Amino acid sequence: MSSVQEAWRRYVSIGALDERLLRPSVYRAWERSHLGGASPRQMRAEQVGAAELELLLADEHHLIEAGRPYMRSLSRAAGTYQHAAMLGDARAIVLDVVGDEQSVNGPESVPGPGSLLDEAACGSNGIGTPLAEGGFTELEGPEHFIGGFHAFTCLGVPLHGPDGEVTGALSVSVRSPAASRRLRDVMVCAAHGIEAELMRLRLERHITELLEANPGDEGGPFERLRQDVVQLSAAARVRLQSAVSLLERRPQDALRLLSQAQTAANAFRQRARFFRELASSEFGPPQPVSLTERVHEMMTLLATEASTRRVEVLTPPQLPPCTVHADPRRLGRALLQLFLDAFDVAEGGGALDVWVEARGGLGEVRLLARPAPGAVGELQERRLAFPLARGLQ
Amino acid sequence: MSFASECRILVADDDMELRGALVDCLLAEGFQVLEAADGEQALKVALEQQPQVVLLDHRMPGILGAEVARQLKQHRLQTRIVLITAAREGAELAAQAGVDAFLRKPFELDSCLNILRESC
Repeated sequence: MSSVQEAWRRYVSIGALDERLLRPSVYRAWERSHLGGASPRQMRAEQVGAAELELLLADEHHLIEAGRPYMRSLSRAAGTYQHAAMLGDARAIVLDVVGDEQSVNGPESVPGPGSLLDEAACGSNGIGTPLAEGGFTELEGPEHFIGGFHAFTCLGVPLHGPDGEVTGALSVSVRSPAASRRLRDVMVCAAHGIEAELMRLRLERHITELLEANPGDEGGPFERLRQDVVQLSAAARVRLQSAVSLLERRPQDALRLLSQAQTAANAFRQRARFFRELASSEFGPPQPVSLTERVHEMMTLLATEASTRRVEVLTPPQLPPCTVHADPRRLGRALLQLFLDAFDVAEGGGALDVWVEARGGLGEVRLLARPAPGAVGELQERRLAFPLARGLQ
Repeated sequence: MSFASECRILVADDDMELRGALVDCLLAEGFQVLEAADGEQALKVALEQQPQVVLLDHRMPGILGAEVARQLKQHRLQTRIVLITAAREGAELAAQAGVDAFLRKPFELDSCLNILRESC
């Protein structure tokens, strides 16, 4: 008998929780389950009513929409093992389940949409425990507080919304510890994918609102930049789905693709955050902002715009650090306008030289736009300056 | 031999990240893959190599994807053209360009592979 089985037997027979027999995270989960009133013999079947569930699913449709493709990937990665990928909200209520027929609709199916899986009701589990722990959780067989779950290995991870708030949890339950090992990387990558997707969906809504408020801007820079940002989320999704299809045949290639998918999803999130700031109409108070970093971010964001407009963007090997006192959103907007104006001059084969420098109490971006050879137009210099942040002058 | 190994696909996208992702995936699936990084290159490679399918990004430097598609259609090749775009008016663009299929970014890899299976 393993130490975990022994711990469970002792708890069931005399109610003692033995810290020495359990991994620390599992011990904490059992303690919370015990204090919450969970029974190790059976789960407390707590289910939201049909009307409430309908409202809940409507409220959470963005999360469900974002999660579906990734849950399908997770399910596919589980292969022929009996399994279920589950999506829960921030309170550990199940929103969606994808898996084999037996696990989803069979006599011993996993809890379906509307089931409450917090630790007080269900003990340690793949949805409630990662939410309570605030991180990735793996529960193997008897590490589940409730005996009925001992046949499963469950992996779970909390999901974060675009502002970093916990918005739900993704989990997969599988009847094979060996299968769970190969699911771990897919699971973490899928969670990053869902978080990126949530950001994309919000970005799409935000830009739609922006365009509705400014009719006639449909083909404008914001719409074009949105398309460029979405490109990265598309790459992340293709790599993840491709990795899943290769897991069985070429596991090493699959792991490489998973890692690239994660990098793409993270790059997307970073770029989407910056883009959202640019598109926002809410301005804030001035604060210290790295002008150099903003210029770098802007050049990354505008890379496709520059290449489609055939503008070569040139910078010194290293731009000097320069921190200014400004509202980051106003600064971002002004910087975007500065670059787009310069692109107008250099479009069609010209070039743009970019400098950042601190001079006379000001941090300054300087763009020198050179028209394409033979094009009508003159060399133009454009500048944007902000006061240097205090203490850095 | 799988159907894929007989099938040549041109992936035309200026974005290295997405192009790389698609190329890696299609190679892993056993397809023969050609690449192009802009509209002119896509046109040139498609005319020279006459792949079975072109996966064509719309927003590319030089000639836009929809225009590449229009020009390829004029050559009456046996090549199927799939326009890929994140543009809101993607379906209209695809219809106007007369392409055979259209994928909106971000798309499901399965949707893309299904189109390729039907085309090869």
